[in-house]
Amino acid sequence: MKLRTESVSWREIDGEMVILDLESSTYMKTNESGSTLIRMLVEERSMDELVQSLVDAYDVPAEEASEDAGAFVAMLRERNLLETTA
Amino acid sequence: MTYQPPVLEEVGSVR
Repeated sequence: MKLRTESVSWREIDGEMVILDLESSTYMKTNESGSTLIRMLVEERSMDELVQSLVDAYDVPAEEASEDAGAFVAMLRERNLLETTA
Repeated sequence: MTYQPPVLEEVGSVR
């Protein structure tokens, strides 16, 4: 999975990621751990890679990181911020 | 640093 690039721009400010979606005319922000995942998703990533990035950055148990990463990805999908694969 | 689960929050409308 990967962050959508068309009509989406983002910038990190004070640890928060601000995301502008020109397609839906909305802008959003993430917290610090969300920014970690967004930075990862600039490139194609697997769920395992996202989970590992949270484990490495915040020293959280893998099970907790897996649940949190899954929920975050679901939020991104809900807002159509991920590229759709053919 | 204190870990908080990642969240995505809508801030507003560009319009």
